[in-house]
Amino acid sequence: MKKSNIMPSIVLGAICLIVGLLLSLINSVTAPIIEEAQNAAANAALAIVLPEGKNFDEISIDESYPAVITKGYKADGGFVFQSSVTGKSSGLIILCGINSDGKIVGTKVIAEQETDSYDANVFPLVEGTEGKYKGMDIDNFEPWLVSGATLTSRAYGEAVKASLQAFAIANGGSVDVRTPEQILQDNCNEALGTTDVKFTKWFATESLSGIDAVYTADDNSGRVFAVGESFIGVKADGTIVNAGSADAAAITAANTAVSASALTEITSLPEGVNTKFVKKAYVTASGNYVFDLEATGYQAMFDYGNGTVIKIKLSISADGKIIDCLTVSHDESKGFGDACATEEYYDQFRGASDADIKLSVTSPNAQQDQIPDESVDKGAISSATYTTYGYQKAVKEAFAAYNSLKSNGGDK
Amino acid sequence: MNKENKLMIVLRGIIMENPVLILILGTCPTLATTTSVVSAFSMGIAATVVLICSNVVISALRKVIPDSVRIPCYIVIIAAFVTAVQMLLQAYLLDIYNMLGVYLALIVVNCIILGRAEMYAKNNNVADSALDGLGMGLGFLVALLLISTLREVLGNGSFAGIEIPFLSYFKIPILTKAPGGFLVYGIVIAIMNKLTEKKGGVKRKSFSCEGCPSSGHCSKVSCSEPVSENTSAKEVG
Repeated sequence: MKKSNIMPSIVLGAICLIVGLLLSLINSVTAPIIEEAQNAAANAALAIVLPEGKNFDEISIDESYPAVITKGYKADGGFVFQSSVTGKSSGLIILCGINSDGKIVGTKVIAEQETDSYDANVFPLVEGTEGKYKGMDIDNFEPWLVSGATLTSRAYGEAVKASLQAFAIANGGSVDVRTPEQILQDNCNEALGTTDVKFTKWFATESLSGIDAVYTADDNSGRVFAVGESFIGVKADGTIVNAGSADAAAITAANTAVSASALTEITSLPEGVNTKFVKKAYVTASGNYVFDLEATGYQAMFDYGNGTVIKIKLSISADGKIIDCLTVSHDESKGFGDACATEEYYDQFRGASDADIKLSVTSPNAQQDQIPDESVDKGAISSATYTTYGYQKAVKEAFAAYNSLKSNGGDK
Repeated sequence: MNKENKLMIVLRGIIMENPVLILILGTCPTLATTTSVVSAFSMGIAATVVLICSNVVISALRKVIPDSVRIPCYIVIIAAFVTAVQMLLQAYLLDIYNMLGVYLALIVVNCIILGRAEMYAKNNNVADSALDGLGMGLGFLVALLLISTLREVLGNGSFAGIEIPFLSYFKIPILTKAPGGFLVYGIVIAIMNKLTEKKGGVKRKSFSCEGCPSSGHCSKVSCSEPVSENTSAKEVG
C-alpha cells in the first residue's frame, strides 16, 4: 500500500467504526420498541376478530388440525385461527376468533380474490357474512349460505367450521377432521378388514332391496354394502365379514345379484334411436338396460374449452324405472352446470319413469323465457339452462331407446 | 458573517436556491412521495433532519477527512443518519415508516444531501452548514408540500387524508399518478421561474456561471474547467 493511502484508509475505517458503534447503540434502544410495535400491529389485526384477546402467541399447526387451517394464535381470551379456503374462483383467507367458551366472537376475510372472476358481485354478497357466525360453537354450527354466492359462502362456512374444530383440538379434544370421502373410504376398509384399499361406488344395474349403495374394492378383495349407517363387508369368496344387525341373507342375495350383473352390449340399436345422444346400450341377465349417453351442455354448445360433451351412464330396470344415474365426465361451469355431477342430482332421477322426466326448456336457446325450475322438474338446474336441456334430453332419448328395445324384444 | 447573512443562508435554500424547484435535485422522492400531503411532509422532515445532521458532521470533520476518500466518508455519514432516522421512525412512528417505504432508505442517495455536503458543508463552518442544511431542508419540505397539496387536493379531492366535500366530486385522478406528478412538478417550476425572474433572480436561459444558482459558492471559472488532482476542495464545484 502506498504511504499516501494509509491515512485516508484509517480515517474512513475510523468513521465506519464510530458510525457502526453509534448505530448499534441506537439499535439497542429501538429494537425492543420496534418489536413491541410490530407485535402490537399483528395483535391489532387478530384483535379484530377477538377484541378481548391479549398476548397472542402463535401455536404450531400439525396434521391433526383440519387441512385448511394455516395458522393459529393462543391469547388470554381465546384463540384465533387463520384458514385458507377456495371459493368460487380463488382463495379466501379468513380469520376466526373463538373465545375461551368455544364460541365464535368474530370472523374476517383478510384476503380474497373472488372478485377477479367474471361475477364481480360474488364477494360483496358474502361480506355480510362477517358477524353471522357470532355466538356459534361446534355443537350448533350452521353454515350461512348466500344465494348467488353459494361456493364462496360455502367455503366461508368451511373455514369457520374448521376453526371450531381447531379450537377443540388446541384444547386437547379429539375431532374428526376427515373429509366425507375419507370417512367413506375408512368405513369401507373397516367393514372389509382391509387397510388403505380404495373403494369405488358400484354403478347400480340391479335394484337391490334394502341396500343403499355398494362399494367395490379396487384390488377385488370384496365389496361393502351400505345399509343405513352400517357398512357390511363381503369378501371376494362371498364370506360376510360382520353382518351386525343387518339381514345376512339379504346381503348375500345382493352380493350374488351384483356378481351376476354382467352387461351384454347391444350391438345393433333399433332404428329411430337417437344416436346423437345414445352411444351404447347394454342389457343385463335380469332384463335391465344400461345406456352410455352423451349430452350437449354449455361447454359443447359454445365450443368452450375443448367442446366437451357430458358423458352419462343410465340404468333402467325391466319395469321402466331409472335404477341409477352417473355423470361419467363433464366440463360444465363451476358453480352452475357442474351440479350435474352430484349425488343430489342423481337422486332426482333414481326411481323416475319416462313420464316423470319433462324437458324444463324446449330449446336451449329459449333460456330468456324458460328458466329451469329446480323445485318442479327432475334434472333441472337453475342458472344452467344448457346443461339442464342437454341432460334431460339425453335421459328422454335413453327412455325412447329403452322403449324401442323393449318393443323389439330386447334385440341383442 | 453578520446576522442578516445567516438569515440569508436559510432563506436562500427555501427560495433562491430551492433544491427541488430551482436546482432540480431530489426529483425521485419528490415525484414518489407527493401523492399525499402526509407522506410529503414526513419525507420533508426526515430529509431535513438528515440534511442538518450530515452537514454539521461533515463540516466538523472537513479538516480531518482526506480529499481522496471524502465521497465514501460522506456516504457513510449520511447513511448512518438515514439508518438512525429509519430505526426511530420504525420504533415510534410505524405508520409513517410504512408510508414512506423504500423512499426513506433512498434518502442516502438523495442528490440534495450529498450535493450540499460536497458544495457547502465541506467548505464552511459548522453553524453555517447547519443553517444551510436547515434552509435546504425547509426548501425541500416547502416544495414537497406545495406539489403534494396540488396533487392531493385536485387529484384526490382531499387534504392530508381529510375529504374536501365539493372537490371530492371533481377529482382529476391522473394527478395522483406518475404522469400527473411530472405535470404538476413542471407547472410549479415554471411558476417559480417566473416569480424569481421578476424578483431579479437568475435567468435560466443563461448557461454560463451567471446562470448557475450555486455560482456564489463555486470558485470555478467555468463548468468545463477540468478538475485536477491538485485542485483544492474549494475549487470543485
